[in-house]
Amino acid sequence: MRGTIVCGVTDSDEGRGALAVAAELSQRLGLRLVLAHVADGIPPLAVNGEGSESVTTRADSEGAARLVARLAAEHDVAGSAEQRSAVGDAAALLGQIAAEEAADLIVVGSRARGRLRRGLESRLAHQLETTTRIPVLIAPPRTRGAGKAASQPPHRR
Amino acid sequence: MARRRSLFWRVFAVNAGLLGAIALLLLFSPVEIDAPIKPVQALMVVGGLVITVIANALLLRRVVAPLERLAERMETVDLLRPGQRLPISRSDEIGRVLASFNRMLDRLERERQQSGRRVLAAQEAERVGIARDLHDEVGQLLTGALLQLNSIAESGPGDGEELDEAREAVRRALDEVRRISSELRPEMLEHLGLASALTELSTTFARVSGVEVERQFDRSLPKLAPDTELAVYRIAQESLTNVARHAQAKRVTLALERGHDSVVLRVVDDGRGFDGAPEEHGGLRSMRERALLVEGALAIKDGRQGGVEVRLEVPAAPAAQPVAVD
Repeated sequence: MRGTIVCGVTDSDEGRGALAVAAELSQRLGLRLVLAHVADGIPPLAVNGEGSESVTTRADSEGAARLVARLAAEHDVAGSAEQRSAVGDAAALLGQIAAEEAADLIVVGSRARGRLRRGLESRLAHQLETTTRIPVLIAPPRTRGAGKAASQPPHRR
Repeated sequence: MARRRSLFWRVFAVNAGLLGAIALLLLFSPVEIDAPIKPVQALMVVGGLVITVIANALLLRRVVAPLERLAERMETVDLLRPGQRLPISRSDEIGRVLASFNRMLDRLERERQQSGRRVLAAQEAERVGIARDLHDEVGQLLTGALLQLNSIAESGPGDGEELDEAREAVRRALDEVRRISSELRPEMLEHLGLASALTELSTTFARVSGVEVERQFDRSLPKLAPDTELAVYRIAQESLTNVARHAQAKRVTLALERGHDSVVLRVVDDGRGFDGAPEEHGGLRSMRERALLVEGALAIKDGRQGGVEVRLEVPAAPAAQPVAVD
């Protein structure tokens, strides 16, 4: 398999939309897919193994891993997509994971802000611009519904 | 060109704006304060004060938020994971501090790479020297001793059992010297290429550690630069050593795959995996250093079926340019 997509996933419509786009791209182009979730939390202070992981960080880390596994299962990519998770600064760590995985593309979700501002808004994508040189694709808002619809069973009335 | 406003003026503007808003509210609202103040009026004053303080905190937090990000990055930045920079969206003092920090990281990463390259080159040269000494000096001495023992055994009567034990001990020592010499200087890598060297490495590893090794090597792999091949070999060697020392694995997969203008090495074990976040020191740091020097991407992560996966992707050597013939 040639080429790698790293997709930043979150437990939101935007994150699911990004996952739907990344999964489709990966399938169509035959690219390796890595799902990554960075949980908001306090990262371990030491970078060279001198620090120890706190109970809170451990819990955040395990929660992040569970979330990625759940989202992968929701989108039927649990068997094909690799999963990564981390705790700390989302842009820095997503950029780091993408660098470690030799990613060719990072996919993140977007957030449409109001009717007057129809442009794609992604603070994460803006921050990624400076933390990585890998191209960033912002999944368009129209896929949000599709991603959710694909991932959730229909409501019963 | 972005308009430059100093941090002082930003803070001043935030506070002046809030005070102005309060003044306008007092001027144009029908609120009256009696003396002595009534409970409702006191409540309104305290409420206004709380709202003002909260608004001030929120606005100032926005002003100093980049400094918080800077402090966090300073504590967590890792030169073995290059390219981490801070976004700069302003041109005041904070923006200049962030830009200086990014430039400092540029310089540190460059210097780290240069010094790392020198250290690893010296380390490899030393290994080659030790391997040569072991092979040429100690190996020759042991071979001589073995020949002498054989000669004694053949020529005269003596205690055959003790002689056999001595010969066996020398043979084992000779094998060990050859193994250590081979690990220090992977001659197979120079003569037969990466796949053969990894095959030999994994065969020896399986024999010594008792862990079953499954090899998955693509038949057609792009050519790698000699330094890159050595880095891949050393990282595979370190990964297998870690499997033997820490993983409690029964099986390990060693794969060499063709990537996108690259070669991918994967070492996946079925052991106990990481207990929490992996602590990166010693061997793992050395692997990152080697990967960084050949512009490789190294991921050390949980395996899909438990255990640990080490994935290294290194760029293929640039294809030789066709030579124009007149």
